[in-house]
Amino acid sequence: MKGIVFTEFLSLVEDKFGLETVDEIIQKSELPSKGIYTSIGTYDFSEMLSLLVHLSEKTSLSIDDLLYTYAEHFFGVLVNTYGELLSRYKDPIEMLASIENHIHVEVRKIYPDAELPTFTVLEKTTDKLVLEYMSSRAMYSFGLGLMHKTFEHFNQKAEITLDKIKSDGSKVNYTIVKISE
Amino acid sequence: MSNTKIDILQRALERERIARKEAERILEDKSRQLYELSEELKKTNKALQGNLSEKTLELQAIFDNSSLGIVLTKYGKIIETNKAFEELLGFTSEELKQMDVKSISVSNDYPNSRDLMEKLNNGIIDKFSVNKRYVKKDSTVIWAKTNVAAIRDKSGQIIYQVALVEDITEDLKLQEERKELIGDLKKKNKDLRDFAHIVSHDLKSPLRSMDTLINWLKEHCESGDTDNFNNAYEMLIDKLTKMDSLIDGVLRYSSIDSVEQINEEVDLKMLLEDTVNMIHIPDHIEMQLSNDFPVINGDFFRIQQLFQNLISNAIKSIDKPQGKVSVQYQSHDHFWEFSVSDNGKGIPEAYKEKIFEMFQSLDDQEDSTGVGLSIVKKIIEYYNGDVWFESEVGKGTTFYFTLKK
Ligand code: HEM
Repeated sequence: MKGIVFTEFLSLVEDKFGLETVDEIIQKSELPSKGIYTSIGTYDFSEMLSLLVHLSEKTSLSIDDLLYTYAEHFFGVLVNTYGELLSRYKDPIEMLASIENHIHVEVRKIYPDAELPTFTVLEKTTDKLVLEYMSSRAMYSFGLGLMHKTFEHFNQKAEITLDKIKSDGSKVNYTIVKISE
Repeated sequence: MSNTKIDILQRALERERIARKEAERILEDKSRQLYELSEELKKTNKALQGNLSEKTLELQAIFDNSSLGIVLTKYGKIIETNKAFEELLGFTSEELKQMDVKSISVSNDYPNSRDLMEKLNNGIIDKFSVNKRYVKKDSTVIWAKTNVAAIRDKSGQIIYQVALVEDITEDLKLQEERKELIGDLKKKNKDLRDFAHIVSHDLKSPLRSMDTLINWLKEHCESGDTDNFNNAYEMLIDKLTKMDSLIDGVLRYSSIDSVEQINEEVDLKMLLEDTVNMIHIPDHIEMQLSNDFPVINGDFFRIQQLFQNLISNAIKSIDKPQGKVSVQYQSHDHFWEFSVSDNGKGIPEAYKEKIFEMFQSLDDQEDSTGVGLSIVKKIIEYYNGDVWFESEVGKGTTFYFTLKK
């Protein structure tokens, strides 16, 4: 997993819960990297999982909630860093339908070792999109956060329902319906 | 600050420090990778450039050594030519570069190739091929097959036109010669067919007469009645003589264009005197020859045959106590016109068409075989001339013919 996912995560934890919490979850996680991350490095996904598990214990928030909140923060990072890539889109449904065939394709060109999920468009109209998410990392809540932020980015709203096809969350269907004002 | 707090801050600081070192190491690695990549790119670039100049050299070699003429032009101006093209037209490369396509084209051909060129320039066509003429430095003209193609840059703009030029003058000449040869052959074939037909038909008529005479002799021999025998023998010998001269004539006719071409100076004055001496001219006929006949080019023997036949015909036609045969000539720009006239019995209208065909003699005169005028016609055709006549029954005939100068 790319270092930026860790560094942004830890800075968000520090913002919300303080440096003590950052220190505590790093100490408890017994990480191979000892919690030393740089945004340009690459680290094992299991370290992220350990950090999440210990943060969840410490804060009594679910891992899903934590990932959702983190995604909201991470979207801001994406907009700042890859605004160029996002500016090609005028419509949130168009953008979400293009993650697999355009956005993450470009991401892999920049980071050949990126670990990315697979999105498959199951159904698509102008205001409805059904996406299938597949990833061994089961970061579906992270995806959900990014999706809501995507709509917000275009000043729109959507009702997104999440349907676990596999109980461990490695395969999930999103049904995204645009809410017209 | 509590000790734990200090510890936490120290740990955070330590992480940041190591992370920075880590980041620097990663960046260091990346820049080394970048450097290596750029070196590699430089090498590939060089290799590509080497390839390119090799290709350019190859192309230059093809351009230089092509046996086809190659011309690069831009909107009618000559930009570059190869050796083959320079040699084809006899200009140097420097001279050609000062010229345009129009100045080495024949004006009649130019509009056609210019129209095609416009279509090429406008992108309507991509290439074309024309047979056109080029004017050489010595002002002579050659025919060449010219293939023109447009060379465009990436945006489709024409950089120049390239023309491949192949001299086909020889080819065309050969084609022309072949056509002539085939025409000649066809005519010969037809002549031969007519000839065989007529010969077999006309040789039969004296044979039939001879058959009748021999039967007559046989019958009278058996009955012992030998009166008129001498007369019958005379007639038989006559027919034989006629057949002999007929076969002779046929042989002469068929030899006119089978013998090799001779082209010598022929003094017509001498030739005519010679001819008149050869022919028996009866006392009551006066020969008139023009004083100053020209010297022409041709085959003495054939031209003599020509005059001999016309003069003999003229003499034979005379049915008056005072005969007159006259041979005259006139000089025109490109040809000589000769005439042989007589004050004989003339040619009836009905014969006008057939007179030059073989075996059409006007009467049953013993010494007329009917081959004479066809020989005349054939010799004149051989020399690409014309023959015709004017005649009035009872008054006389004038034959005219022309020979090219
Ligand atoms: C400009 C737009 C985007 C960029 C540059 C981007 C880039 C990235 C990067 C760098 C990662 C981490 C890969 C790694 O750590 O190896 C990632 C992961 C992920 N991205 Fe995106 N992304 C974009 C948009 C989106 C959007 C709109 C979604 C919406 C669902 C999305 C869903 C995900 C998910 C779910 C992951 C987590 C990995 C996983 O589940 O296997 N991304 N993306």
